[in-house]
Amino acid sequence: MRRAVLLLALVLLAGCSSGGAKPKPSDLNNQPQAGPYQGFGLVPPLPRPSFTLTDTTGKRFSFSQTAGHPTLLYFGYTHCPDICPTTMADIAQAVAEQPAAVRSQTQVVFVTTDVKRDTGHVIAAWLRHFDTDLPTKFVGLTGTQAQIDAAQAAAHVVLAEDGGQTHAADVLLYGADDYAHVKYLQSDNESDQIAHDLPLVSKEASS
Amino acid sequence: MNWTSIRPWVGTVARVVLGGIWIWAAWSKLGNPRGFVQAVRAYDVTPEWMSKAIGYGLPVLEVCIGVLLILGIVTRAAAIVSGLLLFVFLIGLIQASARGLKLECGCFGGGGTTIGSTHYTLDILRDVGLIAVSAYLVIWPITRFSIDEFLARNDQVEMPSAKRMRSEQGQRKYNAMLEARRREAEIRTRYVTLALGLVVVLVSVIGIGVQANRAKIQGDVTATNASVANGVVAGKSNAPVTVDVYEDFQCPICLQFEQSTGQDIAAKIKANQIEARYHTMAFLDSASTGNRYSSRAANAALCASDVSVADFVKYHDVLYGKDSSGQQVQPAEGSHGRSNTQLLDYAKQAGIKGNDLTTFQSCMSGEQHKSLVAAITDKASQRGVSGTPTVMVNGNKLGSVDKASFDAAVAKAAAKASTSPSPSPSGSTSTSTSTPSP
Repeated sequence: MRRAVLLLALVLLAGCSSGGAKPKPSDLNNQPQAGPYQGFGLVPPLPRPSFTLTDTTGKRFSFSQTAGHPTLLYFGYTHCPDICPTTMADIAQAVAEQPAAVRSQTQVVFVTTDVKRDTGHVIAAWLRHFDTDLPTKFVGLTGTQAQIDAAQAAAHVVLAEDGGQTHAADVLLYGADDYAHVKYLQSDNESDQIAHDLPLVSKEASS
Repeated sequence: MNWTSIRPWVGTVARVVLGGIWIWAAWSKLGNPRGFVQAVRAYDVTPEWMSKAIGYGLPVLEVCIGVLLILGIVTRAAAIVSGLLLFVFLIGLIQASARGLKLECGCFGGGGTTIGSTHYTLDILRDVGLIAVSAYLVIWPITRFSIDEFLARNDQVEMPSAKRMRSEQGQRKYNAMLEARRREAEIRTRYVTLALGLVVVLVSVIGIGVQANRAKIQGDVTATNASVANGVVAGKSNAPVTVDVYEDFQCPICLQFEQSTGQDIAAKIKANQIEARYHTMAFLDSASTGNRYSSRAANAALCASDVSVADFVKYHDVLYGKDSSGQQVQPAEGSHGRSNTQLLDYAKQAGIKGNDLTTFQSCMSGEQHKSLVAAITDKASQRGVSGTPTVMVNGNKLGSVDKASFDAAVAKAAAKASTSPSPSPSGSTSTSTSTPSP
């Protein structure tokens, strides 16, 4: 009973302070929400980082090329037994669920943390498991250890160690406004969370 | 307590003191834009357009720098600009001192030629000290209680444990994070500096416009027998030699000059040897305690010129002479200037009476020629007259203002005029810019 009263008071207080429409609480994760997202809100939002790495065909790829598009950024490695493949599969599924306009815009960028084993060829072959049915193919990136470190630091994720096998599992979603307002962690709901939030950060939704 | 922990506090003090000095220095200059332009001209190193840009824009720029320093935003850039400005001032002071110009610094308002001793050594030492304070802030721009400190609050990267730092992996990670945060800070600083720099430039340019507008002389600058360009002209225009006399009724050296050479000038006018143009300047208002004798006397003299040029000359002679009770009319510098009642008495003494006296009284007490006085003063400054008395014979400045050199210059100019059909500038006088000061 006391708890209910307290909750009511809190709701009233919140109503007083915010005034406007309150974002719907997330039913896809158990964290307090920031904004209308179902993933984990980032306050303050992280700006889209700039780093340059090498893509699977050996060409230089600047992350700024994806500017203005909703972009999912993930750091992992291809020999990863569980988290990396499931995360990539979740991302692929979420993108596939989107309406055509959002689906064709959305960019997915995978950066390897295991520079020794993950050559361009290996990454390309691995990514093809996930993006075969999608209109916009996933981008796989590699580089020198220093470049990979710099990219992770620029994206504000914890730097990987142990040859890339201990790495941050965060999936960062940068919106059309070039800010990441939300990120995702490996869970049963990850795909639904991404699917819910993608239209919110794409240009169609904001215009 | 050690140096590392004291340093940012020292920086805070340096920042606030330097910023305060900039704002203080700008304040009185902002209030008197025309006066500061005249002070800049007196340094005699800038062309007219630049003197104006500096005179109007510099105080605004100084306020901007002061505000930035006190807020502690873009401290390094503000300190660099501060140091550069001070360096330019230093060069200006050194050149003025080396050329023997007797100037007041004008650093905190005022300026122009000074009567007393110059304080170049003190001014230069103060400048060097402030440059040192600026340099401190350039080297250590992050100070306590500053916006810069607030903006950099998230730039720190936690140092891992000592054990972890010994491992190649830990060190690599730490360095990568450090480098990333450093780059972000650099980009942020660049944008903030560019944006604020743009704002400061815009504000300064707008400030030039605003100050130029405020410096404009409002009101009527015409009079029956006086003009901005020529002052009051006594004598005939067909006289072979033209003499320009720039005087301030408050200036003691003008008094000396008038007492030694005044009768000589009057005689030469009468003999139609010269045409004298009296430029009644007023820039020594600060020398009388609050009642602006310099301006009021110049105005009264112009009011006398409305009656007739002859009355102007008589009134002018009374102001440089003695009153009916035999006392010297010119008030001592730093004393209370003569009252309007006294200025009216001098008019009676000069022989103005009847309706003319009534007209004179209303003109004098209402300061009807206030704008004209200001315009004549500014015109003189534009012509490079930075002190009084300045005497020009056919446009050539007299090197030393005394009877002997005046007579010599007039004689030489007259000789030249008689050989050539049109009066031409005489080369007899020194072109040195140093003139005796008030």
